[in-house]
Amino acid sequence: MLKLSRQEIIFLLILCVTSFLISIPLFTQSIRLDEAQSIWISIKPTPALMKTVSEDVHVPLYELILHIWMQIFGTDILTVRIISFIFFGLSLPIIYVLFKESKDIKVASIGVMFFALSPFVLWYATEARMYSMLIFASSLSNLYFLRFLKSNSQEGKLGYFLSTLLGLYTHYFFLFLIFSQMIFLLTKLFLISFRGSNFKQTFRFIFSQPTFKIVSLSIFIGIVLFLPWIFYVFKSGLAANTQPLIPKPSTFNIFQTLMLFIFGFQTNIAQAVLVSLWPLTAVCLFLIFDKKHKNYLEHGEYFLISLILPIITTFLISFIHPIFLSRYLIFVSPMLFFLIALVLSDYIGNFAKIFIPMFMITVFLFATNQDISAANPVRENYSGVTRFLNIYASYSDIIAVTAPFTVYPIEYDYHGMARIDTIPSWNRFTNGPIPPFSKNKLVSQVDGYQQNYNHLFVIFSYDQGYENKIQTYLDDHYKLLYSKTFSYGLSVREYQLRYG
Amino acid sequence: MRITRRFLIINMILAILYIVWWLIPGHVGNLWLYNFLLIGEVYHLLVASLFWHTIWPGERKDLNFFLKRDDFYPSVDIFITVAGEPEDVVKKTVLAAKSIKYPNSKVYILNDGFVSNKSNWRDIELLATDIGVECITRTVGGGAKAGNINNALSQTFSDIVVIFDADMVPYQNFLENVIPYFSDPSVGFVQTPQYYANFSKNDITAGAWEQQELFFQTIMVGKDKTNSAFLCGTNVAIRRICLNDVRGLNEENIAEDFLTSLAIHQHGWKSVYLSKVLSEGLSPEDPLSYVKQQLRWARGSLEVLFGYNPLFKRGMSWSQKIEYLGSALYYLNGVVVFIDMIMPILFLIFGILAISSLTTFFAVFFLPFMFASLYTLNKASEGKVTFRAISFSQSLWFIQIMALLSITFGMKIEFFVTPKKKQAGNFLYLAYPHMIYIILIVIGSVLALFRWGFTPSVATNISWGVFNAILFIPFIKACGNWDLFYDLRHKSLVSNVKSTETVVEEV
Repeated sequence: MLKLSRQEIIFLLILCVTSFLISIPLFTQSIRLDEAQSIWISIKPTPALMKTVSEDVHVPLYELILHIWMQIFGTDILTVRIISFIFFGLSLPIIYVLFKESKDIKVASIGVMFFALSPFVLWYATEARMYSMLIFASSLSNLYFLRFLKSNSQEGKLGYFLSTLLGLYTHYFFLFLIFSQMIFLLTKLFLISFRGSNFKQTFRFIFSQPTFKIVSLSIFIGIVLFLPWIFYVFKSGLAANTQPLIPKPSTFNIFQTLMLFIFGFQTNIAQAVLVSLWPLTAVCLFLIFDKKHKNYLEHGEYFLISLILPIITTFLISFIHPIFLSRYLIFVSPMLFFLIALVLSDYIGNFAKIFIPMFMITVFLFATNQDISAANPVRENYSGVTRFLNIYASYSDIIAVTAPFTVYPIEYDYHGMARIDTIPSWNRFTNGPIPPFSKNKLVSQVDGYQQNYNHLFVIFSYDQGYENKIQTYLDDHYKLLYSKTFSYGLSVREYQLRYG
Repeated sequence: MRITRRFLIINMILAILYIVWWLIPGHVGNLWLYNFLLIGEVYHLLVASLFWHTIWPGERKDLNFFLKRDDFYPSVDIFITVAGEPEDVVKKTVLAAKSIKYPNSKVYILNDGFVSNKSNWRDIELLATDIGVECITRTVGGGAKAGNINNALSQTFSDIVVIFDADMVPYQNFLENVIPYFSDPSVGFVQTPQYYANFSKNDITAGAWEQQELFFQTIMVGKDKTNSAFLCGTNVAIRRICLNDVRGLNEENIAEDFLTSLAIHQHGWKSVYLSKVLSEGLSPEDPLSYVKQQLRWARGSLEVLFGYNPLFKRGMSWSQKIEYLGSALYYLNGVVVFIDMIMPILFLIFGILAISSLTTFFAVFFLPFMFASLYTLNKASEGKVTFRAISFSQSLWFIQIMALLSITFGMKIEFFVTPKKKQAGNFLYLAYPHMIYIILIVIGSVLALFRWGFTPSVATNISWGVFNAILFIPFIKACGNWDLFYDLRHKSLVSNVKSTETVVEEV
């Protein structure tokens, strides 16, 4: 499957170890909301797990694997995160071989290095979520798809089918990869056949091609095998109550996604500045089309299409129903690194000698900033919150979490005596959605607290549109004793309810 | 692989979408600057459209000639135009012209050294005697190179005349390849490419050649398909009656070739461009000669645009008019480059913004258009475009503006013959405008960062400034005499070694 020389294996092992060492600060970070949710779901018995996932916006394979993993190794966050890193490590040789078979060893080495050290990729390689598994599945799919095309439909059939199935059960966004592959194949066949013939002849030619038949059949069987899950999701109500609140994207998000792949999560201002540097990419276009250098599009056309198409498609769909999230698009990140490596590898010489180390140092600095900066907008210091609560909240106090679904990471780490509630009040153990926020209910809920508790600790994170209303009401009616921000958008405010 | 119609259509759609962005209301910052930029973008679109017209795939079908006909040997006079070029350069060309395989040709040196006060005009006459060719020395000036050729035309009688510059060394098979086209009686002239044998000598020769390569291997090939290839002054064979029809070469303008071609096409003659290297020439070897050559071409083309607008000429097809317009319009590029390059400075130093929009919204329209345009250029030129050629084209903005100003205000520009020998010295001063620009961008960036911090607007404008600066770097590099810098570095290394040796001796 993957033919690697000893030197290549050593190179990939060194790369994997380097990535691991760089990721240590990430491994030791606080549990994040999504991770807590994954653990909360995966810890359940299988039928309940399947039911909960079907009511969520994901597919169940990762949670099932995590379920087995936790049965064996336990639920400690560090242990749980290891599974993602394993998928990341397994992706390295696949991506290396994919790049090598698409161009050469030089491009493969540079490309896989960029991938392995990407702050964004490492963030999700150490997060207890399905994203590194999605990279693994999509890389396999890309490898077999291109092998299949290159071998004139001889090699990679089974591998492509299995990786398609794996991908479909890993994340819904895998469908966008399949879509890109089909578009690429159809365009290629169309361009071969269209010259000198009419549309009817062209379509007859395309449909008669074994490449088209086998790819279509693999996708068709994959989707048929995926249908039971879709029916199950339909039966469970189409995740109508648990879909995350995703804003409509702007063109900024397209560029931000590409920047994130390279530089990782930075402060909002830093991200805006990095995106604003886009005119420099126009210079890169000049370098790409320079005579002295090879025709990149010959080698990079598939990578370009499978990078751009999923991003553009999800962007456009988001105007009907917002689904655009950078992390859902992580599976296209290897494509970007291939294209960068393809261009850079051709500029070997003084330029590359200076540029590649400079680029790596810059990326490393950004990675460090991502990992340690408190202003990182995706860093969620729930551990800090629970440490604080463990010390200051007693049995006579109450903790209220808003938004309600952020209760999972608090519960995971909080071992104190205070009761934990959510605003709005939500019973996770009964069927039904999170209740909507209402001012009247808030008043009666807090009045109820006042009867029984001395202090109210409100945890604010993931504003669902009512965070300010809650804070204003509490500030106006109760005495604020203390407030602290633990990470970007995550804060605790302590109020005096009564004097005990 | 040549560009396909499909891709050109995609490119056009992307260009239209890009222009649509400019027309969407709500992007206007400073109205005046916005309008300047808009005019620039419309110009870009116009030039791009004319380029697409040139490279639109197709075959030429209007010619009717015999590639092989044993009895077709019209008489040919080979004119070698000389105006002070060194004898060794001229000698090489004359000897090569004499050795051209053809039964019915005669070589002439058209010596303009006397009327242009060149000290070696007598040496050229002696050279002609030594080699055994006729020398026609003008004694009454006027009309520059065109006047020189017209003077010779009045003294000779062949069916076909072939013109070579003094430094264009023809191959033996020149006439063998060119003459058969004249078997079609409607063909007025056959133009062949200019190949620079010295292209690898330095950055200037390389850059000049890369620009020529795009012109001769892509643009002229495209023009030929619509019977719009024009005279390029050398390496060309012209039917005498065709020249008589238009009363010889045009002497009113320094772009005599361009205007003569225009007249020839107006009279219904056909032109042929034979894309085969049949002679070798010399590119300007130093920045000053190169810049002078470009200034001459710019001035000539702009005079044509304003004084002899091809669109209003009768007797030509619309395709021909469009092709002529495309060639003349190219030299307005300098004004557009200037507008584009001062925008970041105006923001960074004075805080004036021409555009008020989400920068990434603009990028979504701009980058695909840019990508498609560069891809088209790359494919149409069969991968021959270089960053240096683009850099040189963009960096000549100051020359093109000078040419425009000189025409607008009627200032005289001396007619320069492009020197064929390298001029000595450091020509970094030619890149002073570009270096001043880079300094202004650095100062502006520091000021803006100090005043507003690293905001997205500052970042975008700095990026545009850097973008322009990067485009100018190959030209700056070509203009400077960096040997001096390397010599100093070498001397310093040597002195370090010597001082080390001294210390060792002392020890």
